[in-house]
Amino acid sequence: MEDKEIVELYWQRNEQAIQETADKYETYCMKISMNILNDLSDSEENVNDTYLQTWKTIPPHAPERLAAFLGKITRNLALNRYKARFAEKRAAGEFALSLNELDDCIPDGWTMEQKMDSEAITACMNTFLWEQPLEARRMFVYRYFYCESVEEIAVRFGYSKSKVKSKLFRIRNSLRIYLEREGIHL
Amino acid sequence: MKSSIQKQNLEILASAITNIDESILEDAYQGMEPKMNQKVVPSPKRSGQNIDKVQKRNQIPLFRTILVAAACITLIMLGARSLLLMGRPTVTMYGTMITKHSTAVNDEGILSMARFTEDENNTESVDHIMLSIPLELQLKQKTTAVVSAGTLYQVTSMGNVKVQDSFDLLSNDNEISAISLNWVIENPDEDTYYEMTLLWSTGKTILVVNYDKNQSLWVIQSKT
Repeated sequence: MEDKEIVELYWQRNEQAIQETADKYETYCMKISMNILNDLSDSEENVNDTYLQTWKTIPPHAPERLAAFLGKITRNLALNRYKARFAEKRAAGEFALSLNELDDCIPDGWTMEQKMDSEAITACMNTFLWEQPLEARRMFVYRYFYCESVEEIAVRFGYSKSKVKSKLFRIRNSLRIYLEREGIHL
Repeated sequence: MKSSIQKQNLEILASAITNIDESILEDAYQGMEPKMNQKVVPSPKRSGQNIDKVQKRNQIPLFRTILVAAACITLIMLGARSLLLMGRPTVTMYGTMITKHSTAVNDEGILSMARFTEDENNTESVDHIMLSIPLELQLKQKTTAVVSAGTLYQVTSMGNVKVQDSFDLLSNDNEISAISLNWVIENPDEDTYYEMTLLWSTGKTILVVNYDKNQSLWVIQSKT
């Protein structure tokens, strides 16, 4: 079923919308959840929460890009679960690894006192990503939004792991320089 | 160990990434769509699953790529080989096709003669052998024949016509024509390999005549 038709079902408050969403996007949502939570039952719960959240959000929203919309909800819910689960413990897994890598993007001088504006960072990041070549942009999204492993990305692009790592390293450095240049050390 | 400041900064950054432009996400999703059908399994790093199994799963697309590349190379090579063989003439001797396997030149082709010296008082004969190899060629395009030794005769309605050691066997394009040749080697040396090279625009084949000491006979074979 086309995304528009699924969204239409949500607007009609037709519960078939959830079934259609599951049919089309369950693997996708599960993958995002698994990449962050790395636990099957947690991920299944997370995906169910995603459907519920989507049901609550449409309407009033009428997403034009349902995959991206679902991806954001899934990731957001998974991050919340992740935070709750690893509040005290040291986390492991692909998300933890990708999060560690993001340390490279943080400009010097960012401190707790200089409270960052997440929206401003997002806006900067959007501009930065649009300025990147397609391959770099996708690689960044696969690694830091979908939290795919370096191995998966390497297979996807037909590169070696070390090549992917070095490309990601360069993107992170460029992003840090870009954020600094844009004055994102609020 | 990360400080709480670092941790919080990273969380804010992660949250900022969650909110990146939907069109950027959609574009990346389009790029990853085929993989969305794959079954999701927990990472072996934490769940203690068999790492080999997961690595194998990741290697499948690479393996497929290698297979496809190998298939393409094979096809190209086969195509190139077919092109080379396209104009290859068919050569027969007494109706037997000359292949890479030896074919005996039968006794009819070996002419033994007694030659006398010019001195009339001396009637001592000298053994003289003449190897005559009758070949039928089916030509598919213009072909040149070159022999390392001996003489080539073209068999025509007028009889045997001697031709040069290297000559063009004319054939109209896209038309198969048959030519009869006699390759005559006088006093052939049993330790020598005699070659006839047939050249056409996309390839060549070599016919080799030599003495097979195990069978005590002259043989001919094709070497491409």
